[in-house]
Amino acid sequence: MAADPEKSVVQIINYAQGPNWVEPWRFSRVASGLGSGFVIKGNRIMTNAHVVSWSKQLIVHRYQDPKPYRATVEFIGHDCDLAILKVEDEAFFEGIEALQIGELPAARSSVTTYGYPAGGRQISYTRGVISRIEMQRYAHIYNRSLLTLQTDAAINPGNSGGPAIQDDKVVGVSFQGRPGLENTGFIIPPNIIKHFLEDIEDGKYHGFPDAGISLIKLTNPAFRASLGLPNDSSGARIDRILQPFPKTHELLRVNDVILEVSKQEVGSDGMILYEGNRVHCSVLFDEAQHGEAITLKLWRAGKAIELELPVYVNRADRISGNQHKEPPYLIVGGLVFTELSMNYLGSLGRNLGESLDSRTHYELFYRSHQSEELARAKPIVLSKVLKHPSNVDFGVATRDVVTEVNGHTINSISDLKAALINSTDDFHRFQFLSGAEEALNIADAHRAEKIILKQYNIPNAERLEVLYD
Amino acid sequence: MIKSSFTLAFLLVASLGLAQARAFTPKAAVVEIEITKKTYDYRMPWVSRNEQTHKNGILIGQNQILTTADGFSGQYLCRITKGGESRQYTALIKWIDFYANIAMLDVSEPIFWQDMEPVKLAKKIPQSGDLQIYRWRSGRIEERAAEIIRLYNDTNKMSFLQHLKLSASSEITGAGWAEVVFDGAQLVGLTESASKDNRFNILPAPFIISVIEHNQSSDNPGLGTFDFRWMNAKNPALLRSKGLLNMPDRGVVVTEVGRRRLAHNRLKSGDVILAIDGFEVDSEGKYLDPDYGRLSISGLATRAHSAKDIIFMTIWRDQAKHKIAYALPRAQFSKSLIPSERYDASPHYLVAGGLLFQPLNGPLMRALGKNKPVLLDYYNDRPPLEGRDGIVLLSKVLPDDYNRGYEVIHYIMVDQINGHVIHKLEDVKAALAQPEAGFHRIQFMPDEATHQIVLDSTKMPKATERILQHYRIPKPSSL
Repeated sequence: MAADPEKSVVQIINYAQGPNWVEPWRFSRVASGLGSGFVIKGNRIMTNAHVVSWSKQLIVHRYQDPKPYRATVEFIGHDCDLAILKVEDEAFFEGIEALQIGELPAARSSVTTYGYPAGGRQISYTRGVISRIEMQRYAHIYNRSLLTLQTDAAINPGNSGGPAIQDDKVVGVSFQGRPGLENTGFIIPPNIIKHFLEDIEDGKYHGFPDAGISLIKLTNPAFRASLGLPNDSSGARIDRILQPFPKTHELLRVNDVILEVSKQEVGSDGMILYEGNRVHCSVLFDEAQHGEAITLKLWRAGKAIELELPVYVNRADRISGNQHKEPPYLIVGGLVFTELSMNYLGSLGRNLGESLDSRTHYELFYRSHQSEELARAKPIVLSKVLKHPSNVDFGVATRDVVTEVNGHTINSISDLKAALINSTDDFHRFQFLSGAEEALNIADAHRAEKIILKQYNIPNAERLEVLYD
Repeated sequence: MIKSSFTLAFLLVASLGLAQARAFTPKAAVVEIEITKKTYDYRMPWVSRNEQTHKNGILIGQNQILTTADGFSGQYLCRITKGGESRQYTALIKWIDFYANIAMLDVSEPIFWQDMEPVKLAKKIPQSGDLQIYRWRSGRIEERAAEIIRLYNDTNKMSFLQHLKLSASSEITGAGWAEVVFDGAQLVGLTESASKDNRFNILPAPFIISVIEHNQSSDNPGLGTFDFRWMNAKNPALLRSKGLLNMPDRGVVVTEVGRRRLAHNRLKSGDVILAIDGFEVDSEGKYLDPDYGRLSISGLATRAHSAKDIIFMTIWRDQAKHKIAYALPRAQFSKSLIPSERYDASPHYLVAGGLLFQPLNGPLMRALGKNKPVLLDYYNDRPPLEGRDGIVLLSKVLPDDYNRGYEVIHYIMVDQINGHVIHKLEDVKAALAQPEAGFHRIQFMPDEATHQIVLDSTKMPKATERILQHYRIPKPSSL
């Protein structure tokens, strides 16, 4: 047990260089970001994933020690915004006591957050109470909600990755605030931290599994009666089964009512009583590791049944799947194609609605939910036209999704690559989601390619690596 | 003496020139129009309020007062003043063409027509130079100079019709309400809209003449529109890839056909249009107009044709030239999956069990403003859904014990009710008359976040009655 937790809290300086999502061969200028972390057992440093993302050089500073130490990322969990760092120089850990991970703190209990906010070299402490425990969207990955602690302790830039301490144990990792809310900070709770640590025990991070269901409340008496349920407060209804979750499709049905998850009663609002807090029952799904099964008690066709539902990490997460890896791209005749992703959209500006055609928006956020037949593995977008006499009259606007090339449907960058190899005459023909079509003369495009790459200082005409772990 | 004679002669010439320019007397032709109308809040479609619009008009013949249609939707009283006098004359609407944005009014009192001098519409309009704008302001004629910027084909302010327009710049403020625009003594057009940078658009006289002819004919076919989209074919590789080897800088490529569901015609996506109505089409979608030079082909639907006319097109398809007969469809909002406009009609709605159903249309989408879900834009932008005539939106749930649990649902598109596909509001009413085993099962479009809800059919009538009373809604539906 650490008597002086601040000695175990470190400052992290990340010299990061993220990709340019519109011109994917380019990288942004190197920017330094500041964050916090803390030492846990095994000579590891825990911090937030967003603190160490896109890192080119990581420097860590011990408490009141001017010496910089080089660190590297050992594991990173973007979905839960946690990361583990290691420091090669073992001297770094000398005299530092590893902090222990505690239990979920009670609402209204006090915590102290430790960290290095606003770039100061002196550690900062803020005390607050746990004001709420509920599911919140984790901003780093955008499309995932996990259990979160809300506190009135000030959490500012630089605090990220620092521990929230109660009774000398870590009961959370500071990770985000919310613009517009005063005196409100958010902390990753011990349950999520422990899930992450358990996950990496086999040397690989898998992630948080997803059941692939849309669960909505079942409070309307008529809907309950239509399903043969009494007008009480138990059970929430499965409104939709998402894609791609084959095991869920096999075992669950729309209008199944979830009465219990892991033997815990589910209310008609989808909530359970979780360590004294009413939180959404998905918190229990998040306790399972990739491939593990969850016991569900369902109401189906007028009777209660029990089944074991295996849950898996959604590796085909089409919205955020590649956002923390260098984006793939392919340049042909000066046309730059890349994957449509949340990061790509984010790079277009704050108001996505105005900057993006609704059909492109639909491609990313809606189509993949419909069915596997309709979904594109990864929509490919024309992100740029590098002007050259051979393509100067190319008449398709950027941000349009390419649907077909040389007669082949395009669902991924590999499809695009294959389609370009399979041209049957002198032209590459492109069809786009907007209905527009265009063509390139293959010989002209080929001749232009070297010149374009040189002119625009592009190292390679393509980056096609497999991006999923 | 010689000097004096010269001066006199100069004055004589100058005054003759002035007399010619003043053949048009604004006071005797320009009138001020006051429209009192009902307007609606599409988010509360049972609520209406009164508004007044003031605009301008001009006499173009006996019992013919010309103005734009803008501002007339929902009108129930139209009054006109002339000569800067305070006396108002009640006007009759002879006809309104909301598609063309033109209206014709009349005043039945003979005294109104005394001392008035109708003007002639110009058959051809200038493409450069200065113009004069007139309107009434505080009982006096205001005259402003304007300078022509350009003549072009563009979309009408009130519809999707494409036609000739004139843009000009002037220091005049608050224009766009049918201020009359002259070139000397000739009426060049009426202002249609204005922007903050002192530019405004004018509905030009030749277009107005054609609209008047249509509306005065006994069998008005209406104006037609091209129900297809196209893109420039400036890229030589695109044309060559289609086998068009010897026609550089010619043609546009059709990218979508039938979005507005106005016509089944013989064009297909991928066709290259080489000529329309005898005019060669260049790779930027322009043709050489004999009167006005290079203009967009979009205006060829209204230049010399009415709806139902056959317009011949030369296209390139499957490595060969074809001549096709394009049956020009009449512009009709109601044919679209999501009609872009509704004029002179109160919003339709149906309240059942606190659920507010509304047909999805342009005014409703605009009323939603920033709250409009992107999915609605998608259904508006995507190719029309096959086999669906329209879309009904569950736009709001008025909270009540009856619909408990559904309070947060809003702006969500209905797919089926009790197994019946819902195209329009009448389908909702009919489907609710056929419950399934005592329940109403409402299903939403498959891409919506919520897929279905269920309500007690036996309790719905009483709940509806209670909710209408509670929320002070005068009637359960407007169909």
